[in-house]
Amino acid sequence: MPVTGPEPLARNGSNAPVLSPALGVYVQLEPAVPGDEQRYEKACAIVRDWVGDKLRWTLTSTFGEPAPYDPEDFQYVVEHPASTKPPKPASTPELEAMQRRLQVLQAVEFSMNCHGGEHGV
Amino acid sequence: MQIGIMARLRFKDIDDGTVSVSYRASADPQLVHFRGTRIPGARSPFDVAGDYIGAINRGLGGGAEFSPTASQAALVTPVPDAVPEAWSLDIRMESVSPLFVMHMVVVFAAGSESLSVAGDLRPDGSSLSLTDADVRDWWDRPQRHLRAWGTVPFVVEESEISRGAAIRVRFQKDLPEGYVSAPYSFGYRLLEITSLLHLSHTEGGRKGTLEPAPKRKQAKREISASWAYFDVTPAAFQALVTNMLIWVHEKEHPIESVQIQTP
Repeated sequence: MPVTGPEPLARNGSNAPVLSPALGVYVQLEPAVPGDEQRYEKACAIVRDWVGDKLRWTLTSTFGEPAPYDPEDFQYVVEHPASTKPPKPASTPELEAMQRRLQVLQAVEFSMNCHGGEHGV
Repeated sequence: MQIGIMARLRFKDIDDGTVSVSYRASADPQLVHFRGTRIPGARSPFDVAGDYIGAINRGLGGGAEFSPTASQAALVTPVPDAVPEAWSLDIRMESVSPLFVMHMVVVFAAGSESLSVAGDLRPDGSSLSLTDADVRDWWDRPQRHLRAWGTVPFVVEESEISRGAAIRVRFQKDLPEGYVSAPYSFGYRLLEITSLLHLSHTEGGRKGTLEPAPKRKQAKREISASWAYFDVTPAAFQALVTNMLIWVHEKEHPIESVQIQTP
């Protein structure tokens, strides 16, 4: 992944950069439950303050291609706990189980990837 | 909302006369009479009607002919305690595209041994008309699909994606919490679109959307959604999404811009 930044760590025989310094942060938050919004907001603020000014692209599991980074993208993470609220009780246990599976598939599974490379992908 | 999901599993051949259709769309209200004999175990036609009436009243009955916000429907016939084998129901409709009524015909037919759909206005050969021949033609060559209403009050950016499909909607104001997941809210409309797409836009061996609804998420002023298993006519998807969002823009939350990605 091409990146801009300080002098490459290594170059090949043609003097082309082959290794550049990069910073990666992987944040795996504890499973969200309804009401966790404030904790998630604090976690996002820490990440944003730390590396936010270096980010240029955002890719989420709910949009197909990377888009230019916007600090508000972190709101997707902040809003995530609200989507874990269980669906209302259904008329049958089978229907309730199906609704829960759909909720997991469509709303609970979520990831967001931001980076500061030259290109989105 | 289950419209479309099961429709292709069983469809009576319209050539044998078990399905007849006579409809002409109009901006004026009219009654559309649905009569049928039910396949044992099939879903109640009143439930099917309820799904479609809801979809129409949320803008999906519009098209190139009618604004999504003008499209309206209401069930006139009281819902019986038990649906008889030979059933009938009347729906009052106005500004409902003939191609949307075609969706309804196919899904009602899937649960019926025989079916008659007749509006108060007779077909006149115009683009607002729908007849047996139109449904037969569509079944053989389903390239006809609902078009987007011509006046789109927000910016739409369409782009290509290698696989799947996705939308990203930016709103003018902050969204209420849970807008994408609340019952009968934005997420439900995505489910309706998925059902309609799966039903009809599979020409050339396309397989449909193959999932009940997209993954979706909301942020402060934004909603994004993606269909991973998307094998649908892109133009049909773009039109349905646009019409649905015009209704949302006018009735619920003003939209700033929309990105639509299709293969």
